[in-house]
Amino acid sequence: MELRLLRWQSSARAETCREYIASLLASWCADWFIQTQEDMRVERLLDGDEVPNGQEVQWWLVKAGTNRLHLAVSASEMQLMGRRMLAMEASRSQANGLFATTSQKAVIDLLRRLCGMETEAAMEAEELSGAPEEAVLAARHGALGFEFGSPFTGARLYVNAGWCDRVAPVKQNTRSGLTGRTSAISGAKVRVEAKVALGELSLHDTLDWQVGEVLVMDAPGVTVASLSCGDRLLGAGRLLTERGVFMVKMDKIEMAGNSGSGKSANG
Amino acid sequence: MLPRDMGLIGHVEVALVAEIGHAEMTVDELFKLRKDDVVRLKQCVDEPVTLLLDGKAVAKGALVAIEDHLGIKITEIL
Repeated sequence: MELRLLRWQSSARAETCREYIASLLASWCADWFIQTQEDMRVERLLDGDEVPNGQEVQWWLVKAGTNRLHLAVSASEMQLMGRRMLAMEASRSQANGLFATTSQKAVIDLLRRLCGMETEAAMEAEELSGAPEEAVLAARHGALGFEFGSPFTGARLYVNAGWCDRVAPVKQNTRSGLTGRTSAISGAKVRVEAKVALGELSLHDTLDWQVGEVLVMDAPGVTVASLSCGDRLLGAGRLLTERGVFMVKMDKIEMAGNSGSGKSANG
Repeated sequence: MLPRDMGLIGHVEVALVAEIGHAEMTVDELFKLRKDDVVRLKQCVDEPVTLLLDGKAVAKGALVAIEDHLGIKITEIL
């Protein structure tokens, strides 16, 4: 049996992103290539954590707001792209610098367009000295990778989760309506843990602990307990007791969309 | 290797947290949770709480009130 990495994004969302990139590529090609038949297309969605390596590969990073775009293209492909843009013959080797500069400007312009930025001032672009950490390109962190190109050249583009959210926003369930598939799990039980932060103490102090010793909390007054589910903080409130049982009266809800007054939540 | 001398790191401060207890809620109840709602835990006040040092359980204790401060009387070192 073969195990394959999950893509961590729905096919519909990936397709929306692919279409968006494809439409921008078409207008970008029309603006930068003298011969308009040199259309570049999105060839495929990269599988799993497929990342090119090798010394030949140049990496570009663009940051704009929460958008992070990484582009990988080989130096020879950059030159070839510039040559095609200017529609010059391959034998004009003395113009290699011009080709590289042209394709570099074009690539930055493509990334700017993909970020939805009108001007370069609103974004940071840099050529990286090597491949980025794999984590920022990994599908499990919400990144999507696309290979695009034409018969003569190609490049790989990695878009982060922030970019995907802008181009293909995830539909949020409204608070009052657990709809569709979500309603099927509405009755499932989850464990919510209550914790009280007692303060900080030195490691040295902990060595002296003995049974019977009393640790006194730093702050007097109301005891605040936090509620969490797994590693996610849900909120915080006052720790109370009633008929010998602990309770937490919620003062703050961390989950988006929940506010206002309510009633008893659990028994 | 460094010698196991606590003098080297004894001054390092770590967060101490008391795990008071837990509740079970349905997903629906969780999403409907609002300010001023009361979540009733399964633990009674006389049950031991777990002391966590940077997330690791290190001792058990009983909650006690000392004037207007909360305290924990250690009942077991883990």
